[in-house]
Amino acid sequence: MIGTASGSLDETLGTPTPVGNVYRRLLSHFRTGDIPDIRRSIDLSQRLTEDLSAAPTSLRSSPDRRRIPFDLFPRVIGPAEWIGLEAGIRQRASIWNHFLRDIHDSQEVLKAGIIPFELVYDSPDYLRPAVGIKVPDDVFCHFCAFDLARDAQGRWTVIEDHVSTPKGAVYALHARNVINGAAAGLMEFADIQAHRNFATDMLEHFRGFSRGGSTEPRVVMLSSGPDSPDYFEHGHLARLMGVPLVRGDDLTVLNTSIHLKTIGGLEPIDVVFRRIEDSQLDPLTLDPESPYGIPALLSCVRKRTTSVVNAIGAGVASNRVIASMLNRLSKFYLNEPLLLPTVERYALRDPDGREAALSRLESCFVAPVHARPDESRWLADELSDGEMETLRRTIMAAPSSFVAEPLLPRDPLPCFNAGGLEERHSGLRVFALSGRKTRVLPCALTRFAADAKTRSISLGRGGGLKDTWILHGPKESDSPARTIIIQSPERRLRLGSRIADRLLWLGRYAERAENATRLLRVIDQINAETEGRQTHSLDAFLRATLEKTTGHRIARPRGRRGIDLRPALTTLLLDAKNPASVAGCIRACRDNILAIRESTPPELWRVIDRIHQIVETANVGAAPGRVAIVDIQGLTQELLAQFDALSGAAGRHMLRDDGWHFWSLGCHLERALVTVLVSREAVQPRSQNRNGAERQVEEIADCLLRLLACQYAYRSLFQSRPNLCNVTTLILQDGHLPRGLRYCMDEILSSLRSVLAGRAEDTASAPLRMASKLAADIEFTDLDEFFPTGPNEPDRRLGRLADSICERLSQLSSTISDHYLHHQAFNILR
Amino acid sequence: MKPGFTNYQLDGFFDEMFVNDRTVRPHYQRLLERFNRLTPAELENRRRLADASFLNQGITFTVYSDNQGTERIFPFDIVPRIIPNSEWQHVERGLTQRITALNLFLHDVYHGQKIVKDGVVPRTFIDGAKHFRPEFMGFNVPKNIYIHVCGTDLIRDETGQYVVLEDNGRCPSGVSYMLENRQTLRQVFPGLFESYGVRPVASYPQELLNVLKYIAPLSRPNPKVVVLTPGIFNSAYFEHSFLARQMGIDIVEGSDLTVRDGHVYMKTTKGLEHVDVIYRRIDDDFLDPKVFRKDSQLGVPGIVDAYRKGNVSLANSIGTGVADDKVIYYFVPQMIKYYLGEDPILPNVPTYLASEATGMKYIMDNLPKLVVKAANESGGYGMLIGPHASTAEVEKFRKLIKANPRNYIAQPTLGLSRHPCVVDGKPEGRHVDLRPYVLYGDKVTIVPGGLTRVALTKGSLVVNSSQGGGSKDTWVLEGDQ
Amino acid sequence: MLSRVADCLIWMGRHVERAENIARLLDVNTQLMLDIPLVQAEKLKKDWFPIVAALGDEEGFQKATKKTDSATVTHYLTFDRKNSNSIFSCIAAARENARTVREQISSEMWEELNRVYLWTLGKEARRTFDDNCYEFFQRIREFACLFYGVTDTSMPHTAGWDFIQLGIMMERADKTSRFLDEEFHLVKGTPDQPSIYAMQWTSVLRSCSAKQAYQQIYVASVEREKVADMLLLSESFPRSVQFCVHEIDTVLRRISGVQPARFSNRAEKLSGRLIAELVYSSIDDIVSVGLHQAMDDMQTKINAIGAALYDAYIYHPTPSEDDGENSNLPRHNQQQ
Repeated sequence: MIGTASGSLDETLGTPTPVGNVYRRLLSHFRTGDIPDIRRSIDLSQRLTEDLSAAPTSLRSSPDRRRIPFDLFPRVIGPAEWIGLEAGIRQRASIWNHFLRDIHDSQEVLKAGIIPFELVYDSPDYLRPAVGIKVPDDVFCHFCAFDLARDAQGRWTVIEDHVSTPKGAVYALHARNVINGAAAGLMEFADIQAHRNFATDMLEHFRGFSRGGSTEPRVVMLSSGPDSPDYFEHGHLARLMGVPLVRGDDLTVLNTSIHLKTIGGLEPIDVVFRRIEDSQLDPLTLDPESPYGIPALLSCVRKRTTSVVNAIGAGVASNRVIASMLNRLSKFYLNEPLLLPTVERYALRDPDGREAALSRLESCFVAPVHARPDESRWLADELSDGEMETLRRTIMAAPSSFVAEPLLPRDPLPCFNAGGLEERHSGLRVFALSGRKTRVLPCALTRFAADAKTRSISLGRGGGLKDTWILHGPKESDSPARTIIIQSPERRLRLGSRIADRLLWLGRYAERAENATRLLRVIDQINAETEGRQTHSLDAFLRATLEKTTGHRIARPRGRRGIDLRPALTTLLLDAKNPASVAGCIRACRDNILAIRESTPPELWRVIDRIHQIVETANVGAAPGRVAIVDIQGLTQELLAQFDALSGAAGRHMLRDDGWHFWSLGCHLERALVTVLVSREAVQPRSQNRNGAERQVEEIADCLLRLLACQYAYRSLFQSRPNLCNVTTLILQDGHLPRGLRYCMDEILSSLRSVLAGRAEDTASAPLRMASKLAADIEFTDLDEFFPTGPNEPDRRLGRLADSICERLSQLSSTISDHYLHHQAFNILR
Repeated sequence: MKPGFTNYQLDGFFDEMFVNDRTVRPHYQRLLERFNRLTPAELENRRRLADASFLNQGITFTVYSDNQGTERIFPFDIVPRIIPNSEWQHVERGLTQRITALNLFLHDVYHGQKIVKDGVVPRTFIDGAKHFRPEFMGFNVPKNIYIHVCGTDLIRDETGQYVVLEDNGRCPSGVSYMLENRQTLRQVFPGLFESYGVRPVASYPQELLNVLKYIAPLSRPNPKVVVLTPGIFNSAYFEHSFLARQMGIDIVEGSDLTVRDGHVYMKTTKGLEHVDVIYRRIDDDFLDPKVFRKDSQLGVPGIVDAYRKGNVSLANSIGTGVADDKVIYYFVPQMIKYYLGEDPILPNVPTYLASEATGMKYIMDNLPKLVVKAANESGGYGMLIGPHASTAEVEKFRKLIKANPRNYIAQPTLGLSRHPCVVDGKPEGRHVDLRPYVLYGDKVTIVPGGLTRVALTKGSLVVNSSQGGGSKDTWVLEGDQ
Repeated sequence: MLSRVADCLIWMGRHVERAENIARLLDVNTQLMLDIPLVQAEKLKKDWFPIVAALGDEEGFQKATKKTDSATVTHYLTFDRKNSNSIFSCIAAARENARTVREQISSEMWEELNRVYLWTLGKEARRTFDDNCYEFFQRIREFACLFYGVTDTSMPHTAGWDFIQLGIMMERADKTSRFLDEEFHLVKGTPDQPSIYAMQWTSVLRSCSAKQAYQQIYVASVEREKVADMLLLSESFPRSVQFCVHEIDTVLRRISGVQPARFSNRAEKLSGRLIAELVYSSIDDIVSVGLHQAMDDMQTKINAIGAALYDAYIYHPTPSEDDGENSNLPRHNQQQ
């Protein structure tokens, strides 16, 4: 067994303590238990972490399928040990609170010379505008986390304090769910403290810090969006807490209080739970280049209309040198010895510390003073001589910006892999909610190194995840579950405008992609059936339809009567750079859903991702810029099946709430537009050479039915050969045909009415008025008068009618966006 | 000359596609060029594609031999049979003449029986016919049309002349395969149709609907037409539902209809709906348990009573089975002469009646060389093909004929014409026949095409689908090239 | 539309929904059952029982499976042809119904159903099931999604579509209420045994693919009353009983064309009453009455709606011998 630190695994195995018993039972289970059963649990545990690890890092890049390895063998902490840790963490959190309040107020600790001035004033995280702001209950770090490790004597020490934006809570929660799902039998080995309502506790804790008058303060989580590597964690935590995940541009300041742009207008917000560095919060007063902040947020905090959780200025605590002086601060503020010591750390700024560190640099861990998430850090014992040399030179260049820590002994935990049990270095992170009464959460995060040698356990660099079992003490049981008052309906936040906008466009792009696919498929069939020599009018109709609906010019070769549309079809299918192509629309679909992944069901994401894969693989053969020659029929068949699966998945898994209505609005708006555009081209009077005109128009009517996939509907309603008059009546006025215009208008109206429910002035709403007028006009036009001379001779006025409908539909779409999404016509509610 | 068809032999039979081993018939020229461009592998691939689309669309019949209920498709051959316009005109005139004569004959048989009184057709053959319905003597069927849909089987003898093998006046099946074959071949050979000038067949359902509407009682403006099917376990169920879907009308089973005081109603979700015309695909015997077979589960009790009262019209009328009798078939040329005063355009196959002295003597002397058929069997059952049969079988039939001479006829073994079919990538000759579908409403309409049935096993003469026969698409050209 | 056709459409919808339901239950619960060591077969039988009871054929299950372990049970519920509630028989029955009413449904729907039928018939499905049953269940659930999508987009929303919706919604309401009833009593964990309790109720949520929806609606950890509240009374969750009964009510009115809040047949009267009951009662009233009791009479009410629906649209009074009695028949007179 590696490592001799007391309290590590092999030591406790020998002792009759509760932890020892649990470890022994676990080891025997994994060594002697029936292997296929364990193998199946492991497969399932990987499957359950699939959602976790399929976290795409950024919009543009395809989601790197890096999978976070999960190991079933948990870390176990005994009750006595846990109580000691709790006390130490509570003390440490209150010390940080006192320190941060002090340096943002009268700065007694600097005056008393406990810590040198320059440590605080030189720190980039020390925000002068934040000085003097009275923070509710003087609490700066409401939610903090501490990375712990055992020192040579086996005592727990803190190697890093996360006081500004602690991460990893969701992974800890998820680890327990994976054990539940994959190896629930193991849970019966020990009496474990449950996580229970971890997220709701956090929410209640943050609500306590709101200054607003209302009983149920509103909380939002401010994130930097899908580009940040932790976006997945933010989304997951937001969903667990039931708070909207917003970005800088979703919030706006109105008479010095923060408002969220929702489809119900601007709604005041009481607490902002920030997941971005505090310096990026307010581009007006803090870091001007920050794209994620809200201008004038600081004025709201100063005026105490809104409180920010992990207060502004908490970043100072990420200074490793100050952390190493915590014992002095403990005496100064609490007049108590520091219960949970910081790890032995040399600040390279003072000469003798530097001297000591350089002498034993080979066994040290070197890191910058100011902790940053993507900082560069060195584990000396894993460096080659050349790298050691460069490390020495960088330290000597700017000694005051580095610290060095003598390496702690490894903390090995067994991990189960193909070969059997293997020891891996592991780390522990504990979370706490600090305030008037600090509470340490029973859900801790345990990570293990990628292989036996390395010490790096960060999940981003190949580290793995384990569950952490905290055993019950003999007497105390879990605190009884406090009942949470469910938000009363009128205080419940409406859907954020950005999310509504994304859902609307998700619906439109999905529908546009489907229509384009169907169009290309039918045109390819017609093209094949007539071997490119279709009649002149049909050929003109097909080309005009293709150009109108996709906006893609099709070259008009001289001479040959029928043109071969095949190259145009393939480009329109697969050329991702062309926004009108199917591949372009699918990429737009995927971008939209990626941006709001936390508020849509996973099934939706899976189907869209699958469609994207289909298009990618079909395009793989092509040289960049060129498009692969492909079996259009086979590909379009597969795509259409998947689009049906998409609408099926949306129907079955999305809640019928505002989000669903905006998705359906998007779908039906786009479908109505395409239907009218295609019919517009069909009724365009072609050059009527008398002979065979009748047959050509009939051919176009039949082709129109095929393009809109309603031959079956036509045949069951009219038992006659298709003529243009019947076909247009069916398409424009039949309320039963899912692709018909009337059906789409009915759906749009019902969605608008339900989204409007509860708006103050719903009678005066522009979109609803406009939509009902358009629907009425369509329903009551008498189409027969547009065919004065015969069912196949459309009058020119029909074309103009179709154009006006197109025009009014796009106008309706922009009014909806203005009204709900872009807040031109905003009003303040309640 | 013919690379794809290098080792294709005619074996002395009349071949639809080739005049002799070397020269191809003019109207097949373009098809041959298209086939020569295809390698055997491609040919086999296209055949597989066609079969897959049949299976996918569910154009199958379920074989219930093992309890699995496996799905089988009707074998389909992708080489289409082509008929030039001139030949088709000849066939069309012959078929029109024949169906008119048959309808007049049936009207006469169920009324004054003048043809019997004038001695053209002996009375014994009428009264002895199994499907003759004396109860319907004197009954006036709507518009006096007995046979609305007739599927006459034609073959071509050694000289290439079209000869009528038999008439199907009750419910000829296979029309849906004619339509589906055309649709499938469009996917297998896109673009070949327009350039070849092949006349479309898609109008058949529309024409059939017009005929059915024409015979509605009291010629009501928009009569309610339904298709009556025995049910999904009938092997032709696909055709019934296909026709109903193409015509846009309802398909009903016996249990869906009920007769209330002489009117037929359909049980719908909105209560009982009056039915005017029934395109029945159930034989007379099973139609009405009150009148015909008591044990029939498929029929509608009381429907014959409604039919007699003229409140519902049936297509084809009850009692047309007489015309399907093989013995009556012998007299059809005489009927044409008697009723229309014209010479038959399409001759019959020379036939010998066992019930006539001269015929019986000839049959007994040359039995091993003849084809013997029972008067009222169909689908190739109860048939003896002398040259292919064992002596024991021949003797068995000899006794059967003697026992019931009225029930048997005999015909010389005709060498049916042959047509190339794709057999594992290579073209080989197979015997074929042709079944065009004749509609008799206010005018006679024959859809330019038909079902060409193929005897798939080499040298076999049995083309019926129930005996493993396959089918081909039939193209009738605008012109002669 | 023909009554027989309406009947076939209802049953086609029901069978597809039932197949998806079984696939979902097995997908979630197979792992839960495999965990508990096999040595406690008796305990296992007790665990499998709610699943099978939720699918409504306990007796068939007793007779068919001598040895109850997960393998036999999953086979019984998937490939066993004799069990009319197995996935295979449901899909086969759905296809047979579709074949009967081939002319009423669109060809895409038929081809989709035919394709999955031929797949389950073939050997390849067996192989997928044997080496990784999750993939098999996933394939069935994807088919169900695809089938609903195709039905919505390719079929005109006339009476035929309405009857399919009726079939789907009745099946879903029945299965959700039955599953909740079984699980509510057999869930071992009590609130003070937190980890087992939370796990059980999370798996109940996952059995109705409701885990994410639950988090969106309730901001709380998984608790028995809240799960029951969601699966019974939520009006926005597509799988809740209230949502289904509401759908049934709107579809019935659309078929008969009657004004809302009025009724023209017994089915509409019953569904209107059941909706009022669901909308105006809270989970506490239901639990106080005793959930098992409440669920039982909920199921009887849903079946009563189904029966009334059949009387109204499918079954026709057989004529008594003397024909004169049905005088109100729409009959055009002779003299015309």
